[in-house]
Amino acid sequence: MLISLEERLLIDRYLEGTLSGLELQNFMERLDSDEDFRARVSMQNLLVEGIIISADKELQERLLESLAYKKSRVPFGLKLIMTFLLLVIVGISLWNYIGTDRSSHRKDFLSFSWLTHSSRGDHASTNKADVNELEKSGSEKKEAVDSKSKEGSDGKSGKIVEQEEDLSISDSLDLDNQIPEVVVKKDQMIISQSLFIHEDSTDQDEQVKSNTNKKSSQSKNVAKKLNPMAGLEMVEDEKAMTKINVEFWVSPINYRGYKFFRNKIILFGIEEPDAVRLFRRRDNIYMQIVNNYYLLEPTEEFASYQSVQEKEVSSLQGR
Amino acid sequence: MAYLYDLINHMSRYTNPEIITDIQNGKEEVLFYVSRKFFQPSRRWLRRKGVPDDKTPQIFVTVLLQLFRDIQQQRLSIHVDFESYLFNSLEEYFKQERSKSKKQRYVLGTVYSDKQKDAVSLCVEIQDEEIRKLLYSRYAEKLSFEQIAVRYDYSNPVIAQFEVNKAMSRLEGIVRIRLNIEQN
Repeated sequence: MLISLEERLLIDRYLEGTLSGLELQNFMERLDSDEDFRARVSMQNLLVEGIIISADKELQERLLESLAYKKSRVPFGLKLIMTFLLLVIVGISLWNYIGTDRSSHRKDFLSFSWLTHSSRGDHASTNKADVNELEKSGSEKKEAVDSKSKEGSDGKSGKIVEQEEDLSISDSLDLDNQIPEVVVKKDQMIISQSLFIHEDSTDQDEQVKSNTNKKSSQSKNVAKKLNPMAGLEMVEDEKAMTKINVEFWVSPINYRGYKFFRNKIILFGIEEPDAVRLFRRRDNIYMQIVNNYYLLEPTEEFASYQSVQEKEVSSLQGR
Repeated sequence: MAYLYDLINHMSRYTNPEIITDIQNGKEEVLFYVSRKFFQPSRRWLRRKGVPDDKTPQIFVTVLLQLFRDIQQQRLSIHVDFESYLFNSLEEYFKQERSKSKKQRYVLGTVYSDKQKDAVSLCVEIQDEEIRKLLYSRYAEKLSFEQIAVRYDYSNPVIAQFEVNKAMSRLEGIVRIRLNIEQN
């Protein structure tokens, strides 16, 4: 039997808890005595609960739909790791990009000011020690180069000086924490050689020479026979060629010129020292570089090279 | 048009008293607004407490519905701060879940595990929308017949009472057949 309207209202009021007094007492008595009524009450209770469940389900589904939650394919932890890596990569690239502008090319991580102040003295001492070491190594190099050049087969004794450049670079690298970063380039000596000045004599000179040679030939022979190992004959020949100390330098401003005083010539702007040949003609010293001739006049101040035509040299030779 | 309606709903803003009042009046739009507004903070809160991410929407909606029914039935003051009320309810729910064993935690739907109740709810779902809404407003929202008459434009509460009774009788018939209960 279906529940009637009045009965449904009564049961609803009981289920809501709004029955009281006599009504509630009568209801409870009926509930105890009437089994069908009890079944109808439980049916109404079931229907109400079912309606509430259905209402909640419907609303819940609609709410979940409106939230539109989707489980992400990439786990949250992985996302965090990826973000961290991305930030690190961006940071490194940004650091490198900005860091290249600095002249010292040094990147000081966590450079605390209080630390830098206190460590300056230590820095200075270490820098000095570095310089001393470099100087020592430079001198060793120099000695090694000297010994090598002495052993050279071409007869030229030369000194290759390289440490000056090294030192200047190392100075700028190591002392840049203290000294303001101003790089001053200096003149650099490439090589120092002792070159022979070839004596180019004229015809008259050669006649005189041949006479003197004839006169001295007898004494030479005697000397040779007496002591062949002494090399006295060679000494006689070398007298015709005088040795002069020649230094080849490079200027940062590409200066070309020379200085000739006492027994030393300083040449600036000569790129091929091996191609240089010196010869004397009529008390003038000329420098030949391939097919170019220059007159070197004794001067204690720097003078520019005076180019001399090959004809002039040959005419001098012809007189 | 529907999209425009959704957009307007999405853009609308509610104050705290408006939220409480609208919930008490059974306006479901406010519930969607609240869910959109508070889902992300609640989700973060739940995640911090160690709740798995995929369980957070279900928990949030369950708590929100509980809150919705409470406000509807208890005639809450409009000056109650809804946000703190929601988070307090979440915390309470979380405490209850923690007191359970690990396997039973966050297993939703256990409240409605009774097969008979589920069967009745399915019977309700197959009803027409009008009947469903009428039944929901009477038994889920616990509206009086006067309120139902106003909401559904019935001329008087007696007609509302009659309509509700008719819907209930229809549902009862279906349920009895479904559950194979004899009609004595």
